[in-house]
Order: sequence, then C-alpha cells, then structure tokens
Amino acid sequence: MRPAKQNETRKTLGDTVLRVNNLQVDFETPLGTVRAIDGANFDLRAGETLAILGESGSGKSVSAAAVMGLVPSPPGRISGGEVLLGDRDLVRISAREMRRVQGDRIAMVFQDAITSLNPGLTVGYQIAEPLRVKQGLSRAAARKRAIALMERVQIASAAQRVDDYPHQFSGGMSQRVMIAMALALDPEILIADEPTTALDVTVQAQIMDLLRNLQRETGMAIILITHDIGVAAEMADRVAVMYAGRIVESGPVQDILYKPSHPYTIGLMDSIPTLEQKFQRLRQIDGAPPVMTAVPKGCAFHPRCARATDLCRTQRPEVVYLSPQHGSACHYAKEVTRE
Amino acid sequence: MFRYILRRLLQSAILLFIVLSVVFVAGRSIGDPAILILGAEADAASVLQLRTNLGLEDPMLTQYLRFLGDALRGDLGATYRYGMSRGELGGGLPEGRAALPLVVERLPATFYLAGVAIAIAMIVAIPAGILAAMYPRSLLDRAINVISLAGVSVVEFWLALMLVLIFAVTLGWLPTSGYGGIAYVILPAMALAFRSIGRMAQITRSAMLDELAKPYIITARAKGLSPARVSLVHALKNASVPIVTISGDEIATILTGVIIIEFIFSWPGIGQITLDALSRRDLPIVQASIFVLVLIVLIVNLLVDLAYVILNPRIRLR
Repeated sequence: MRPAKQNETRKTLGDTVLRVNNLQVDFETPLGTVRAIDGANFDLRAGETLAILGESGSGKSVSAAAVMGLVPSPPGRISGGEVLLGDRDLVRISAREMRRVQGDRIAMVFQDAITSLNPGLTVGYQIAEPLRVKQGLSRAAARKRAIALMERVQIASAAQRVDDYPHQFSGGMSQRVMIAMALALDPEILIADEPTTALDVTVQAQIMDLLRNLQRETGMAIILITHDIGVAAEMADRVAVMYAGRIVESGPVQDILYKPSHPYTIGLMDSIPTLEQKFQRLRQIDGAPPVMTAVPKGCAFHPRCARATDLCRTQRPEVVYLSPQHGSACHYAKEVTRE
Repeated sequence: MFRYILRRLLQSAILLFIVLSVVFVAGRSIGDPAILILGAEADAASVLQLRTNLGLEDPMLTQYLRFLGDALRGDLGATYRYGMSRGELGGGLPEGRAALPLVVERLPATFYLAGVAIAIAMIVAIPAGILAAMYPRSLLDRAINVISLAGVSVVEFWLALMLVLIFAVTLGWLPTSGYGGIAYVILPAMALAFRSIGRMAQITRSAMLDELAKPYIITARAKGLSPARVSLVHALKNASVPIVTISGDEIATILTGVIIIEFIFSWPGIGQITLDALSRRDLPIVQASIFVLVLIVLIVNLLVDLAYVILNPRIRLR
C-alpha cells in the first residue's frame, strides 16, 4: 500500500477501496472492434477524490461505466482486467450480485441531471426508490428519508417539493436531486460523471461545494470524471489524465499541476487562458485526438507531440514513476517539463 | 382542470354537430323515404301525402333545423318499419317506435362483445409488446412482428368465417353464432381483437424501446434496480401515453368492426340493427345508431385525454 499523503490537512486518507487493474473495454462497431479502454490502472482510497481528466472520446466515461457495471452490452464488452472492490472482482460477478453493489456501495451521478431523472415519477419517489426496493422501507418511512436527503443536499422547502416532478426543477436543483438519490444507501464510492458540465458557472461552484461538504461528512470516496482541468485542480486529491483509452499520467494534484511530466498534460496546462495573456491567442494542442478506430501505433499522442522521436512512433511507452505516486506513460517522462 | 374538461366537452359537442349534419345530408341522398315505405308501385297522391306528413315537402333549411332541434331533445325520429307490418302504416304518419331507444336497448349486447374484445386485445398485446421491447430480436419479438403484420392484412369477416370453420364447424368446441354466455362471445371477440392485438403490440413495443434508450434508464440501472423494475416502473410510466392513445384508437376501431361481426355471428347488438336498418332504408334507425356510436367514440377520446393528464405530469393545463 502506498503511503498516505503527509501534507494533507483536510482529511486523512484511508485504505484503498477500489483498484482497477489493466482494464480493457472493447466496442463492436461497423468498422471493427474498437478498444475504448486499453489497459487502465488506477486506485481509489477511502475519503479521497480522484479526478479522471480527459477530452471527449478519451475513455473517461467508459471507465466509469465499467466500474459501475454499466457498459452497454452489446456493443460494449469488458475484455480484460479487473475492478476490485475489496476482494471482489466486479468484472466477474453476476448481474444479480452487481445490483447489490450498484447504489449500495458505488453510486453514480450523471452529467445531464434533467434527462437523467425519470420525467414521469416524482423526485421523492426516485430518491426513495432504493430505500423501498433494497431496504424494504415503508412508503411513509422512505418518504421521510427522501425529505431528509433533499434537505441534506440543500433543496429549500424539501417537504413541499418532494412530490414535485423533475420538470419543475432547474438544472442545478435536478443535480442536487441526483446527488440525494445517489446518497440514499450511503455508498462508499460516488462516481460523478461531468456533474457540472451542463450547469452555469455559479451553479457549478455550488454543486462542487456541496459534493465537498458531503464527502467530509460521509467519508465517501469520489471519482470525478471531468474534461475541465480547473474543476480537477479545485476538487481532486489525485488526478489521472486519460488520452485515447489510456491513462497517460497520474499522481497527486500538486504534481500534475506544477510538475506535469507528460507532453499531453503539459499541453492541457498551457491551453488554460491566464490573465497575463489576455491579448494573445489562446494556446492549443495542435492536431486532433485520434479516431478510436485508428489509434496511432507506439505512443498514441506522438502525431501531436513536438518532441516525438522514432521510439515514440514504434513503441508504446511504459509508465515511468517520477515519485512513488506520480507516473507518466512517456518515454521521456524524466526530461519533459513545462517551461 | 375544470376548464380543460369544459373545453374538451365543447369540442366534442361541435364534432357531434358536424357528424349530425353529415348524417342529415347523407340521409336525404339515399332515396325518397316515402317511396321506400310505400313501395315503388304506390300512386303519386299517397306518396305526396306521406311526404307532407313526414315533413319532406318543407324547405331543406326548415327540415335541417327541425332535425337538429329534435336531435337535441334526443329524438332522432321513429322507425319506418322496424317491428311492424306494412299495413299498419297506411297512408298516414308512421306510428313506429322512437329510433333512439330501439338502438340504445341494443347497447348492452354490443358493450359485452366489444368489452371482451378490448380486454382480450389489451391483455395480450400490452404484455407482449413490453416483453418484445425487453428482449429485442428474441423469438417473441419476431412472433409479434408476424402477428401484427397478419393482423393489419387480414379482413375481419374472413377471419371470423375461418374461426367459425375451425373452432365451431370442424372442432365443434364453440357455437357458430348466437347470443349467450362466455362460449358464445369467444369467437366474435377474437375476430374483433385480432387486428388490434397486432397494432397495439407494435406500438407498445416501439414506445417501450424509445423509453428504454433514454438516459434516465441508465440512472435507474445505476441504482441497482432489477431489469423488470427498470422496464415496468421506469420505462412503462413514460411509454403509457402512446399505449393509452393506441388503446383509445383501437376501441374506436373495434366499435366500428362490431357492426359486421355482429351480423356474422347473429349477435343482437347495435351493429346488427344498423345493418338491418340500412338494408331496409330505415333512416331514423341508421341516424340513431351513428349518433350513438359517435357519442361513444367521443367519450372514449375524452377519457383518453384525461388519462394523459394523469400519466404525463408535464402536460400543463390552462
């Protein structure tokens, strides 16, 4: 087990609750089999927030779906690796056993809360449903718990709003409902898949604050899927950067922000606009992410990388550890730094 | 809610008025009732006498207003000849029974047959459609496709005759025709329900497939709910609007189909009396049964609209 971070003041990190080893997810497409996740490794410790950072198509949402047992099948399939929750491999358990993990031990919050809630059922019903179905609570008791959960996610006048339908809630309030629903069975892990992408900036900040406070109260671990490096910097204890189905760099948030050691991460950092460069062109990473049916050989990033060599074009880089916790899948990890 | 119902009632009344007008015009176009009553060999004087007595010599507008006024009071005229001999008519005003009660007293038999047919259709089609959507490309899914294609292609009276041939004549399990208990109602109800089963199963299936592809289904699955619960609680609640719509349409279809089926099975309902009246040119009876059937369809549509409000909370009422 890796040592807990020493400079942590907010909380002390606990044991590893989830370990993903060499995960592979394939999708059957008309153009052939696409490997959406190609050997992802990460772990999650009790009470921490791990941000999985990447562009759309990088495989970050598929990773979340794989952990959650929600890879759409067909066309998707977990073709290799393991997802260890304690000593149980979630890839190999039955669908029935997986349903006792979903919601009970790992819960999920989705990107677009408005379409992710059932328009035909009251929010109270949807929040209370796991309690009624899985814990056998009576209608009245479940309703009471639903109101309490709504108060916990700071929905004003929860007792009046419990019988309202999702269309009567704003985007931010819908996301609070989603979070209340996810918290119902007191899970150890919360996966938040772009939870604030569809929201206004001010509402975004409120939802992030809420998640942070709830984490402090419950001690649950959070996997935060995001494309927003700012969100990751603000929320995460550790960051895993994904590119073309692989984790290219991972480590404590300070290391990723201040000592990025993969050209892709450096490119992401450089593309953040700052106040000083107000009148300059925004910097960007040249080129576009690869089409997943034709991932470049060797290092998938090499066509966009300024320092790519023949080695990069032919050989897939292994993870190089710059510190016990900070790894980068670049042949030149020890040399690349951000100017 | 109250204003919504009021508005829908008003719309229904306007529709009923239009239908009555069409019935009036059609009724004046199928031949002279006086000649129909008296026979082609009657002399011109008595035909004119009867036409005057029937009010057919009045201007069209007067006839139309009188027709509407009578209809408003529930008087759709008296039967020309139903249940009486020609001699009774003489040269004077027909003293036949009022048409509307004659039709209305046939309603229980029709409701019995149509009700059983609708129940069969819904009980078979809706679960079949749901299962087909839950297991796409399964054997059941394919079977429903074949049955619904057959259902829309087969003509009802042919199917009715085939059912009689197989189950009544060859196998002898059920009576060929007549009115009575459950044994009598099975064949006509099946003949009526068959077409609706296919269509309702198709609509249910596609409505369920639409809903099962929506993001909230993934949320429901992420909660660790069973596939049955995800389909039957989460998807079905939202798929219920198109299912109720098609059910309402099929009730109307069955009510029109009932006319020919009642005739084939000698079922003493509104359909039988209507066909009978048509062949005898007994206009008031035809008018009354069209009026009653349209009224029933309007009521069914009104109930379907009210069901939407209950099933879909997003329908706002003003």
